[in-house]
Amino acid sequence: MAMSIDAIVAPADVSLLRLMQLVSPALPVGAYAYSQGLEHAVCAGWVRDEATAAEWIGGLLDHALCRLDVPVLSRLHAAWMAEDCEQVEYWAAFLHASRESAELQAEDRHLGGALARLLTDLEFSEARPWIDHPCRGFAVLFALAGVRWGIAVKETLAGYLWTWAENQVAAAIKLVPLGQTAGQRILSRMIKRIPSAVERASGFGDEDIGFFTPGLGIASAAHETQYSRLFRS
Amino acid sequence: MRHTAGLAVDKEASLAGKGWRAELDLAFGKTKEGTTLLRRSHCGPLRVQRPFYPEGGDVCHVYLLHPPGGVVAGDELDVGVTLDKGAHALITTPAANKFYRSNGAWARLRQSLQVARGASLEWFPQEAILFDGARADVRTRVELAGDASFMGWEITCLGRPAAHEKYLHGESRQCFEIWRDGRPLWLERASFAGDGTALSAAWGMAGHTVTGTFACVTRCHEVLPKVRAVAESCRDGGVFNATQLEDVLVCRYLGDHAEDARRYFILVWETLRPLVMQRPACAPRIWAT
Repeated sequence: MAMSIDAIVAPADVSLLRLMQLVSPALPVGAYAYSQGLEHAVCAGWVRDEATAAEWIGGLLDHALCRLDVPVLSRLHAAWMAEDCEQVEYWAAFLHASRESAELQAEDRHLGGALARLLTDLEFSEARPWIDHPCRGFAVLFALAGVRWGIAVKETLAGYLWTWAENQVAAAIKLVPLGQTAGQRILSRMIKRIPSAVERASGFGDEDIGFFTPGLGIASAAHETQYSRLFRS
Repeated sequence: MRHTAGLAVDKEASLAGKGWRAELDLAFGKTKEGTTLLRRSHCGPLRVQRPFYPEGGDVCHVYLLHPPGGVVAGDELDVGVTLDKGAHALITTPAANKFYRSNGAWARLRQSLQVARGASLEWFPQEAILFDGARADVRTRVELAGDASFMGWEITCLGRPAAHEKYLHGESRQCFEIWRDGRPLWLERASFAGDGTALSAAWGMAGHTVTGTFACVTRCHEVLPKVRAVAESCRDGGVFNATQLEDVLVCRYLGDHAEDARRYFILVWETLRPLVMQRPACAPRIWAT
């Protein structure tokens, strides 16, 4: 007799498996094509080995993701949970307006649009309007998936940071280049920082959300005209 | 002057948590003669000089005088600027805005710029200098209605390199935001903690002391190559570059000299103004002095 996965495991375990599905590098959104300025940072010599790669990724995790994406994601999670479309729209626009370069804005829209299409195909009707929405950021749809798959807010935030860090490490392995073990060491360091980053991000008021990373902004804008590129950001 | 003889008094006022409360409210309208400064009201040490019309009646140039000498802990300054339909104003400042070391209280500067449909605002203040130990909270919020037009910059200097003073203990915030019809169009929210890694990290200030951002609301994607060419020509003295977001062209400077940031931004403005506002650049006279 065929049983659905939901029937053979307890609901809490299903939400863990759903989280694994959502953060898997196999999620077909194309995140692997983006380095978020890391390619320029390597080209400029700012990132050149395991230590500098860990500093770059860890610094952005603490100062950029933790101060913008994560607190906004937490508000989006709450807004989807409450079916408050106005709040979803507001935070989607807020995130879009905070991206520092054309490439980072385009990347977020590409990933968000791809996830909206996927979720629509998986029969989440709320995702459909976001396929072509002007502010279709990845976090907007990630939050929707979290809510619909019963993933608690903290796990959703931690998962978002993990999948971001995992993707950055994969880019660093190709670009620096680094060995696979070095990559796993960096990822292990990031994993240790994620719980406290989630904790800190939960403490920000609306007025405190936002960050300033001029070096990243400049790296990302410079990447737009870089001569030779492997990545799309 | 406040920064010499007045300092002892201000220090006591700050310790007591009572800084200066100052407000300036400016309203521009479009009349038959062109753009007119309809209203200017102030309380406290914020002032505006009489308006200038170096390019005819259409555009009103105004020099905003921040408190002479600078801003101390506990000061609360509010600047409100309103442009009615069809008005066009260019606002600049004759001097840098200094934020002194704090005794604990925050110094706050709120600049609220409201631009109606069909109106244009150009906002070109001199730099904000954050002294070591400053606790400055500076927020510039531009609110546009419909097709209102805006370009402007904010430049921030950390510490006073000329006086060998590094920004080691400050804790400041600087927000520069553009909203349109109640929705965020472009947001930059900086925080500068003197002891934080953001000042030394490559993704942050990379050890530099001056950062500047020029933002111009435009969807005209043809302007970007021209602005990039300007950035190319400014190779000395820091990093200059530009990117075209969906609704806003953003140029950034990272280096160690506010005058380099200003020089680059003025060149960008000279390039952009004819394309975005359909008029040639006409520098405020004060820039030449």
